[in-house]
Amino acid sequence: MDTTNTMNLAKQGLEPEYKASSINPASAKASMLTYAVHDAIWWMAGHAGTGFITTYNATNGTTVVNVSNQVPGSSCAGKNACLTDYTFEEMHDIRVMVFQGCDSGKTLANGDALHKRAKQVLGVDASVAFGAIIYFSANTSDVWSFHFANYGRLPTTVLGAAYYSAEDVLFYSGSYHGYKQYSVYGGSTYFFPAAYGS
Amino acid sequence: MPVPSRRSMLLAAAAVLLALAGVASGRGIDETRVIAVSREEAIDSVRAFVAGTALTDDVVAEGPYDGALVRFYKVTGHHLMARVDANTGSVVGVVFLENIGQGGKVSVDSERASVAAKAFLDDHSIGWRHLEPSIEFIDHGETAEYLLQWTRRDGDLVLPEAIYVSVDAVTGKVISFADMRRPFEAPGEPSVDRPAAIAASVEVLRGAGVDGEVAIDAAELRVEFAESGDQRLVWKIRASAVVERLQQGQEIVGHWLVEVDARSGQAKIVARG
Repeated sequence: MDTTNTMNLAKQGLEPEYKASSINPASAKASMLTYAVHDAIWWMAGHAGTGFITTYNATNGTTVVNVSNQVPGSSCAGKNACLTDYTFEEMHDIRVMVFQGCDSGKTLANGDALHKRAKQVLGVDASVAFGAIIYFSANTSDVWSFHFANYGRLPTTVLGAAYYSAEDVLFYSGSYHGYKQYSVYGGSTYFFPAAYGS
Repeated sequence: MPVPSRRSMLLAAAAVLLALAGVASGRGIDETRVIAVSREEAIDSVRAFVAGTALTDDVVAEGPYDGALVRFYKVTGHHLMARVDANTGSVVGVVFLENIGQGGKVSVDSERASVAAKAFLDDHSIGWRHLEPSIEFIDHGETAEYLLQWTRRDGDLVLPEAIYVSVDAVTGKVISFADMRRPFEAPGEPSVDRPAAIAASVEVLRGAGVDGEVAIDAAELRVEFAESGDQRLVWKIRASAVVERLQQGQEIVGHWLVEVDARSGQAKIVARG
């Protein structure tokens, strides 16, 4: 996330513009400290930056998941505030993790990244993030997420779904809107029919 | 382009009747969105376009769908997806998933990628020489590609002429092609200049609750098209602002894409990030 032009100004008492929520098969788990654990798909959509992604809901406010405490300005205080708090045993059953947010796929100076750690350390089968500012459709259903989720039925792989969906954004919106900069690990994974990962 | 069949002629006739109904009701007609091609013909177009490439029998066509520039069929097969203009029958997009070199080492340089992309366009008689080229290397994690773009500007004005070709950085093969061109008329000068467009975009963001300092990341004047087919001249403003600062000082930044009509000055948020 490039914050050099934002002039160090904070919001005063207003909610974030994009009120995304974690999309989970088991919504109850999404509100627990160990949310997403034991779920087959973890999908977060919201504001993000290098090494972190956020969700928002009216009850809990903004929730941030950092890859580690190496994200500038971050803290891993609180259970599962960082991916480094999770274990392989807790996470490896996840089939797909999607971090749909701006710059969510960019790496920290130490080479760590949300989706990279998810696949290589936590053992999820596949993970998706983005190396650019991406845009969600403001007045219609979101083009990328709609198509990505549906491509699993072709069936196609996570990599194929990410590629096809970026082209959908181009044809429906007239621009890639950053989705061409997807980053995928475990791209040969299939995610339909729904199932746990290995 | 396939020879029109009896079915497609009937489709075209029906489309003309619908268009006439549109005139009667005062709505505009977008001739480029008139459906003149059937799904079967769309599949035939794809078969001709990818001649020499294995195209399995399970290929299907869906649509047509309304895109930003044209109405298109989506044709999918094993490891392939294509888009066909429902009016002209031209293949305007294709993806060859099997050309992605998953897990391999990047061995293709930008020059070789450019040669492959130009050869692909020449093989399909797609004119690119009057357009301005650019190339970008994209790291996708386990894969990588070069995205080549050919675009056209008139000064600062972005015209609706863009061609995209992606070449895999491992295999050197073309993965995807997208033809984002559409006929247009010279738009003339905007009634709203850049500073006024930026001011309008900031105002609409304020109305949406953005009260921090807004940074303008880009402002482009573009020729685009409404769903009715009407050509539009619009400013596309990319803006950002801090939307929240967490206890430890971590900043959450929001991004917006605001569209400002360059005739009327009317502004609206079209996308958020």
